[in-house]
Amino acid sequence: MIVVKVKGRHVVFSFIFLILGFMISFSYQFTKQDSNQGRITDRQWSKEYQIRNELIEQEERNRILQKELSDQQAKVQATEVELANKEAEKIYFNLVEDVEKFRMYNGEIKIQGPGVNVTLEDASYSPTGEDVNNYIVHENHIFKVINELYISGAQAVSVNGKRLNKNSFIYCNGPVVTIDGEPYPAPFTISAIGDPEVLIPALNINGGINDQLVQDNIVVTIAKSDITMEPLLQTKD
Amino acid sequence: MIAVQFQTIKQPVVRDTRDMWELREDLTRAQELHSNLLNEIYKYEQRLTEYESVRNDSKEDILRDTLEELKADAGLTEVKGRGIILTVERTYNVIGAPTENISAYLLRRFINELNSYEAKEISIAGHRIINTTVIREIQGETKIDSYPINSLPFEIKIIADDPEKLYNRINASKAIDEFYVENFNLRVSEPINEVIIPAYTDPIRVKHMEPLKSERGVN
Repeated sequence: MIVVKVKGRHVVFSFIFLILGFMISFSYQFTKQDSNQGRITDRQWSKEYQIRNELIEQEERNRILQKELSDQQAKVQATEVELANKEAEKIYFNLVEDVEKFRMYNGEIKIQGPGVNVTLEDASYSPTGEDVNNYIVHENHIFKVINELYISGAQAVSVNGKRLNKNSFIYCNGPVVTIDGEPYPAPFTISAIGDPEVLIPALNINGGINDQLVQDNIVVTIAKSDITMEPLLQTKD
Repeated sequence: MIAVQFQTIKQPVVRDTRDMWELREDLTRAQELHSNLLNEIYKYEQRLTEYESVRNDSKEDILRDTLEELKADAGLTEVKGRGIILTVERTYNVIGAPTENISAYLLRRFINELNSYEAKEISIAGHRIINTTVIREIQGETKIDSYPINSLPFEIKIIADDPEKLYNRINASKAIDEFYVENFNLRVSEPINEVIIPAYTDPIRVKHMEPLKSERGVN
């Protein structure tokens, strides 16, 4: 009969083996999990990767094109201005001015001017048990503001930096509002270029748009500011 | 145990969570923008070569052409094209007082809808819709750019690149019902080869804004 005495050595060994065993099983588990996942999504992943690459390339190309366009526009404008100055005839000057005017109006070039920013935010307070829809911004609120701005003499309007024109359309799509097919999240900043001394009182009159929006539990901020507006064709940041 | 903890802490790696569909959608949008940008660049390049090649005395003509083109874009010229004509008329077969006026809200929403169906030019009761057009109720009268719409029936004329598609989409939409609820009947014509849409008659005044050129390298 062999009696094994428990010595200090044995205690140390048992600890070492315990930890070793744990490490081996852990790394086995870990690698198994990893390879499994990889196998399932391998093809999908490569496909996604490909599309993502394409998208990035396309976006880069667009960015370059955008730059080229603005360069080209600048050249044309410079030529026209030169024309206007050189000939020193009034009719040329007027023509060039008109051309510039309509380019701004049609949203072909970047513009700036005084105006107002109207920010619409969903109500931060929503009591439980009520329809949450009563407390968020809908498309008709945005419509109302845009319409009111135009009627008060706004010259150009943009929503979250997206310039609007006669072919624009706005849809409320669940949590986002879609403008010309592109989704934009709340809060919505509606910028308008025009005379702020007219625009702000027009929004603020008694029972006016501001009151109506507040009635619908929307947080409205109206502020006078200088506004720059991107052209209609713009790469989204 | 430390190893396990380390693993769990490492887990939430920030990922681009856009899935395939979103990526594809973004891609098609980017491609659309691409072709639009190309068109626009082409337009300006052409203009530039014209300026450069043509003799001095006819440069004025090019300027005039440019202006005409821009005016057409803004809606100051009459346009012809393929499209459809909608007629809005009063219905009498519904109980309740017939509405006097078509509501501005209904019209505004309808224009929005038409735009989402890729309508290019629209006129309502002979008034062209332009960038700054306002439809609003003032003292019980619905006005388009300060012109009241009094007489019923009136026509909504639309020009589109693909009138068949527009026709189908209008017919499939809720628009007809929405008009009916307000006691109006919306009659949709078959696609027509030549729809004439009148010009915007008032002058367009551009004030308060100026072009921004300084930082053109930035965007």
